[in-house]
Amino acid sequence: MKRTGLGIVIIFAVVGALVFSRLLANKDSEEAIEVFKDNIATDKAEPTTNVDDKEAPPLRAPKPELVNLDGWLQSDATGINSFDGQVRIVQFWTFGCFNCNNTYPFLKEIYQTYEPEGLEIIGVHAPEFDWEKNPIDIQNAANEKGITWPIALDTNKENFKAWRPENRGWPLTYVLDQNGNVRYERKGEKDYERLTNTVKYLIENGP
Amino acid sequence: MLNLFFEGIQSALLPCSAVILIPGVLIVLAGRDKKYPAMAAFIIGASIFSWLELSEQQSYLNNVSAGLLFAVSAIVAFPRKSDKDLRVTSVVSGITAGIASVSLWVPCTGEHYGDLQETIDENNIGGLFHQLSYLLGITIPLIAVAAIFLLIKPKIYKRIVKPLTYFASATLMIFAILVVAGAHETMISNLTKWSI
Repeated sequence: MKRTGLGIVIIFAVVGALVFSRLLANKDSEEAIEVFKDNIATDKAEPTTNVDDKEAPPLRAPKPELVNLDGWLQSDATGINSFDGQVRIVQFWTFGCFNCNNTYPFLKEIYQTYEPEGLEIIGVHAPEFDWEKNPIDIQNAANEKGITWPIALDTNKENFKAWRPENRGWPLTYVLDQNGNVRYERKGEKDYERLTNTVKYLIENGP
Repeated sequence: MLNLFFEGIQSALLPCSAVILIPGVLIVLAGRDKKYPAMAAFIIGASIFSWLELSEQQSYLNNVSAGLLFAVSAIVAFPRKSDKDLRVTSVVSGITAGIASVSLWVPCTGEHYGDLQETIDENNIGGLFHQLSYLLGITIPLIAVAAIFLLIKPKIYKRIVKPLTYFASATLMIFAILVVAGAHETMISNLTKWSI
């Protein structure tokens, strides 16, 4: 009887931890967006109070290229150079990726806020699986998720592998300055404060 | 470290963790009365090898090498006449399956695991413990699987334990063949597609 009781307690504890952690994950994402909105509101009320804003984001790599793409969705661009002069967030994503999904609410917020000031987001779709390769499905997924920015099709993951050769996971996020140099890079979700500060600095101060 | 553990738990039910959890469950089933040493060996083997891979001290294994490791794990776990060396065989089987599993693993990269990947080169041995925390979180369902056996009456358990071991080691062997052939990718792909 003691044995059975212990078994039941362990199973319930594990199931409870799994459910609780999922609920916590959703709350974390919502909180991150609230923090971003609050910071933007504070910035508008009291501009240039953040010391970090004045520190230039370091140059991480010179002008990476997007080569051998299979085309673009939601854009007439011919390459990454088509956006020269603009600050660019380049995100390698794939529509079946759970962690990528978690970033879209934030990306939509930052796009809405900074697009009028010269920000462009480029979603480079680098599929993990074969069923993620069809452009019609990618477009449908973009519509469903509310992704309105240009999407480059990196079907064979040539650029995904070239930009960060040792990497295996999604998403991968970069910020390129107006000259196309890398000023921010990140594997995985979040780090939104540093991302926002980089974009804000480049928009306000130039490259 | 705790953040990574909780992020691991969050990832446990996602398809990206299937390649860790499916062999992990088989190792628990094949472990008979040494389920916990087998499970611990699996997690430790997976943690050490993934840390070596992430910190670029070891390159990723190809499908053939990973498949062969699964085959070794299946052969070692296969029931024998005497259970004298059960602890040793469970540990060896767990470690080899753990190494093979992480070689195929494309991890979900949340906030804290992203941070770890960005800093693991500089962290060295500290990174190993962080990697262990994350994998402990991911493999938490294995504890529940092992606990199921506490609910089974000892008499019934004695009758099912050997067939279960045969089933688990045979399934590991089938998995080994699928990995060598590259067919596991289709399996994981379908699993991901169904879960969306």
